Amino acid sequence: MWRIAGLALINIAFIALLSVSTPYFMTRGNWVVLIDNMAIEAIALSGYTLLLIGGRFDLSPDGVVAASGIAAGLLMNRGVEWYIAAPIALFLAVAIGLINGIVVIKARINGLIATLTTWWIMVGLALGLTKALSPFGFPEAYQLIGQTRLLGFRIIVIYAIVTVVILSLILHFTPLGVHIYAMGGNEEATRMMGINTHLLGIGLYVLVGFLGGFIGLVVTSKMNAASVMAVDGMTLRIIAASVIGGCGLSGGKGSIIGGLLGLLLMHILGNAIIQLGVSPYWQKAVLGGILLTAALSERLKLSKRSV
Amino acid sequence: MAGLTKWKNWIQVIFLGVFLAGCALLTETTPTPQPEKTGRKREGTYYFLAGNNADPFYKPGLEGFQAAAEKVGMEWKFVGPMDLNKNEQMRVFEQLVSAPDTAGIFWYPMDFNAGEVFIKMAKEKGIPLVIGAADSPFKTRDAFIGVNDEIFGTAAGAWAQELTGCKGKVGAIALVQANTDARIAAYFKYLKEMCPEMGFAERVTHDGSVASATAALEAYLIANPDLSLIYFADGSGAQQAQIWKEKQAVGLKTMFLATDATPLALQAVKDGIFVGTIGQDTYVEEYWGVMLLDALNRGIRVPDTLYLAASKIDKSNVDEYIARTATK
Repeated sequence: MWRIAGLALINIAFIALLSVSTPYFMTRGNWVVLIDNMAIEAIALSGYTLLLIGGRFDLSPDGVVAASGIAAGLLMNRGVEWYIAAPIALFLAVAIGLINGIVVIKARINGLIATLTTWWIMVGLALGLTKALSPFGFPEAYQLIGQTRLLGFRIIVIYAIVTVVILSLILHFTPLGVHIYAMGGNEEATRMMGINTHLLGIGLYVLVGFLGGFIGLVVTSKMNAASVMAVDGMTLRIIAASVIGGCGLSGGKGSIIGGLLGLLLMHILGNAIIQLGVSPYWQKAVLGGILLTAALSERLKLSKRSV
Repeated sequence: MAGLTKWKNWIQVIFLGVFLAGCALLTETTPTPQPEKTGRKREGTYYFLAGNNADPFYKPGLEGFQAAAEKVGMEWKFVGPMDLNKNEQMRVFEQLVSAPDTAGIFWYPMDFNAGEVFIKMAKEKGIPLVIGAADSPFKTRDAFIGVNDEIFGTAAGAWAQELTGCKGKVGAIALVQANTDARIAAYFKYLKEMCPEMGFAERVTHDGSVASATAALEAYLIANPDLSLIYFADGSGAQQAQIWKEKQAVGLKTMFLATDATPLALQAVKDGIFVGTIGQDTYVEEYWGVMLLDALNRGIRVPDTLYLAASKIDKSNVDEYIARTATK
C-alpha cells in the first residue's frame, strides 16, 4: 500500500514538474495520446503481473503478439473472413501459452530458456511466413476492433480498463487470487495445502498467451497492418514496470495497480522527453537514469518506514 | 568418495581430449572449396550481411541479390541480426570472415568503427568486400554501391522546401543509426541554408517497434502542433499510414514525407496519406553489389564508388514507379 502511494506521489511530482516545463504536457490531446499508447501495454501487464506474483516468468509475449497479428493478417489477406481469422489467431496464442506452461511446469525446463525459445520460434515463423513484408489492408469491420473511439480515446483504453478491473478483482477478492499469491510465496507449501499448483501455473501462462494474442489482433487492427516488430521490447518494459510497481521477480508479492503506476511513470517520461526536446542520443540514458532514481527513492522511503 | 571424484575428473579430461582431437581432425579433413575452372579466386557463397533483417525494406534488395547470384552461378545467403543488435552483426561478420566458403561479403553497415577490423581481416584473406547503403569513412572496402545518405537527406530537404514553400515548421523522426543520422543532418542543413526563416523541431527517435514509433510520432505532434511537414527518415514510417489517415480525417494538415518504397508506403502515397516517399532502388543496388563482388572475385578492376539516385515518389508517379520496379 505504501509502495503504491509512494509511486503515485512520484508520478504526481513528475506530472507537476512537466506541466510547468512544457505548455503541451497537460493538454487533453497529450493525455489522450499518452493513455492510448499505454493501454496496449497495460493489457499485457495485467496478466503478466499475475504470472510474476505466481512466481513464474515469460519472455515470449512479444513473439506471441507478432505471431497472432501476422497469423490473422495473412489469413485475411488470403480471403479468410476476419471473424474466422481472429479466433484462429487467438487460438494460436492460447496454444503457445499452453506449450509454455507445460514445458516450464511439467517438463521442468527453465522458464527463461523455454519462453525465450518460444519467443524466437514465433518471431522466426512470422518472419518466415511473411518474408518480413507486412500484411495490410484488412476489412473495415476488423479495423473497428482497434480504431473505434469513445470520448476521444481509442477503444483499446476500454479493453485495458476491463482487463485491469477483472484481473484485479480475481487477484484481490477471490480464492484464486489467494492461491496465486500463495504459490508465488511458497509453491511447495501451497501444493501441500491441496492446491493444484501445476494447473494454476499452466493457467497463468495460458492467460498471458491469450492476452498477447488479443494485443496482436488489436495492434494489427489499429495500424491496419501486421508487423513482426509490432511491440518489440514490450515484455521487458512491462517487467520493469511491474518491478518498479512492487512485484518481486521471485513471486508472492505485487499488484496490478502498482505495475500500472510504474508503467504510467515510464510513459510519462517517454512522452516528456519528446515534449522537452531532449536529444535522441541521450534519451535512453535520461529515461533509465530517472527510472533508477525513482526506484531508489521509493526503496529508501520503504527502508525508513521499516526502521 | 575422493577416489570416485578423481575418476570423474579423469573421465572429463579424457572426454575433452577426445572432443578436441575430433575437432582438429574435422578441421583437417574439411575440404576448403577450391576454385575450379571458373576464373574465380574463391568459390562458395556470396553473403549479404545486413542488420535489422526483419525489416520489409530488404525484400526487393534480396530479390536483386538472388537474381545476380543465380546469374553468376554462385550460392547466396542473407545473414545478420533480426533487430538492431550491432554486436550480433559483428559476431556474424567475424564468422563470415573465418568461414572457408565465404567468396564475398556485401555489408550493410551498422557500425563502421566496429566493422573496420573485419574488413581488414577480409582483405588479408582475399575475400571481396562491398559496402551498400552507407559508405564507411575509412574507405578500406573494395567498393561501395548505394545512395549517398547526404544526397538522400538533401533530396528530402529540397522536396520539403518545394512542398512547404519555406513556410511554417519542419521536423524529423527516425531510429538512431548511421544512415538515418546522416540523412537527417543533411535534411536540416539544407533547409536551414535555403529556408532560414523556417521553424525547426528537434528530431525525435523511436526504438524500432511499431508501437514505439506511434507513441513518438503522436507525442511529437502534440509538442509541435504547428508542424508543416514531418520527414520520417527510416522505412518504418510506412507502418504509420493508418494513424496518419485518422489524423487527417480530424483535420491534421501536417504533411508526411516517408522513406523507402515498400508496398505499404507506396499504397499510402497512392491513397494520398503521405505526400511522398523517397525510395532507393535496392533491387538494382544489391544486383550490382553481387556483380561487383563477382568481378572482384575474378580479379577485375571495379569502380571504387557507385552512387545510385534516390527516387522521389508521389501520387503523380507512384503507378509508374510500381510498374518500373516490377520489371527486373
